[in-house]
Amino acid sequence: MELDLIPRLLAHARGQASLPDGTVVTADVLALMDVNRFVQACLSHDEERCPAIVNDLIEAGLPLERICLDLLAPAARALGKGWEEDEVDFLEVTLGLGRMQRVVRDLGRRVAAETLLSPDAGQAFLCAMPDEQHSLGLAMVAEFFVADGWGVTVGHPIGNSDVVKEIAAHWYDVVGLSAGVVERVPKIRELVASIRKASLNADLSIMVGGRAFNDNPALVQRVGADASAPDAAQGPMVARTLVQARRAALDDPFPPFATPAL
Amino acid sequence: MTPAHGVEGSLADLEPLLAADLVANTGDLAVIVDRTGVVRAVVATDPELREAGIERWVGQHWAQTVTNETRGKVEALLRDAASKSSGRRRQVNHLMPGGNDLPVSYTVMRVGRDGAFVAAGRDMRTVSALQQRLVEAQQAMERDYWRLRHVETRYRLLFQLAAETILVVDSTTMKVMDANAAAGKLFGEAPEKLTGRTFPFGIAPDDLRSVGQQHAAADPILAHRVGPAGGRRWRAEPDCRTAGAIA
Repeated sequence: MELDLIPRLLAHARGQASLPDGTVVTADVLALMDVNRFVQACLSHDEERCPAIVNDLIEAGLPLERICLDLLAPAARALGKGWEEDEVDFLEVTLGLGRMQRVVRDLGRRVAAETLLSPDAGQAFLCAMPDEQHSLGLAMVAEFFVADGWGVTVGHPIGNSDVVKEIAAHWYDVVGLSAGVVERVPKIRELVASIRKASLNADLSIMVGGRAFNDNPALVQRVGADASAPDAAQGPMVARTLVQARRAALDDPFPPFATPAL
Repeated sequence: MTPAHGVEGSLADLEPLLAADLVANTGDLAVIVDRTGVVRAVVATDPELREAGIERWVGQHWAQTVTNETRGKVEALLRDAASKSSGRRRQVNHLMPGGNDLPVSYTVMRVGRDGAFVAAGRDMRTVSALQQRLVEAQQAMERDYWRLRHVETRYRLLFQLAAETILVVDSTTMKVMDANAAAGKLFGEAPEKLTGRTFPFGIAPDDLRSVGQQHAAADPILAHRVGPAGGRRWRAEPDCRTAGAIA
């Protein structure tokens, strides 16, 4: 299989190099961050090859966030691209993403062991739209929420009604929905409306994410959501802003434009 | 000349319909597409496929018979065949009247003298159904995983908030595997600094023997922390390799 389509994100310079965010790393780490190589490891016959690469990166001191955003995410995109080009078949995509998901779980458990619930965060419900096939992106978002001190519930992409029922029955501060393809947008708009109507929390914030929204940010408003985040790591920060704004509005005895009656 | 070119050369002399028959008998279906991309004939050996409504494609642009996201693949198939480069097999999803897509994996070759194409298709419905089950099984495991994570978070919280000092100790090596916040406070160190240390530590020498006996005994015993904090009753729970201290 060839995956030459992925541009080399990283440039060498005097034995050192930097990640897209400017983090300076050694050439060894850079070699481990090679997306093509990682994709090959995910598709290899050796179940342990891909966790071993990630383990080496952790031992080299690379932040978990960078591993997620600069290795796993582009590797998943490369697999998706390979599928669109018929370079890899569906089973290979499922195998590769499954192995990456295993890595995400491992990273998640490392973070969760050191994290407690944060009082400024809250309860988040995350789910992929019905008929989404793969949930690696969502699993990554969920781990970033856990790491930020949120209580996280991950729902299943089975039917809209399950999601609505869950949000009507339990208190959530934020609901996050992910969609990969634009075709799902009308369905999301419908779902957002029924979630708002049924929610136990009248001030529920709704976030949307996924490729469909990254490609066209205008869709966020069109489906009736409150916000979106450019990547998995920024999801919880955006959610905090939303939730804190709502809480502040509730605490404020004189909401804007309302004059207290004397 | 490569063998592939040899085959193509001999097929080129055949009538497109004859070639389609040949292809359909080795694969599941064959589609004859003229040089403008319009479907001229569809041949299938499987009666179920014929009944699924594939004849409706005749007269339509081939690309219009597939879903939006696979339309580009039809164009690529024809482009590859026209340029005689060895085109790869590509999977498309046909839109079917019943609402269920029909996944077909095609290779395309050029036949006849008027520039027509024959697309040899493999019916992928059985494989797709199996893939769908695989994905659903994976999603079910993912849900179970998050349910477990949820439970773990809850008990982790209880562990950390408990007023009772708790050390989880490996009963073979006696190394501390986990320590809660109360343990950190008792020993005056960050809880994560306690993990990896060999238990017991920070306990008055006279009490050590009784702490050691805890593997066998179920009764709580009294041990004294070295320093001013006074007596602590240590209780070992050998099954779960936990040592707890009650103030």
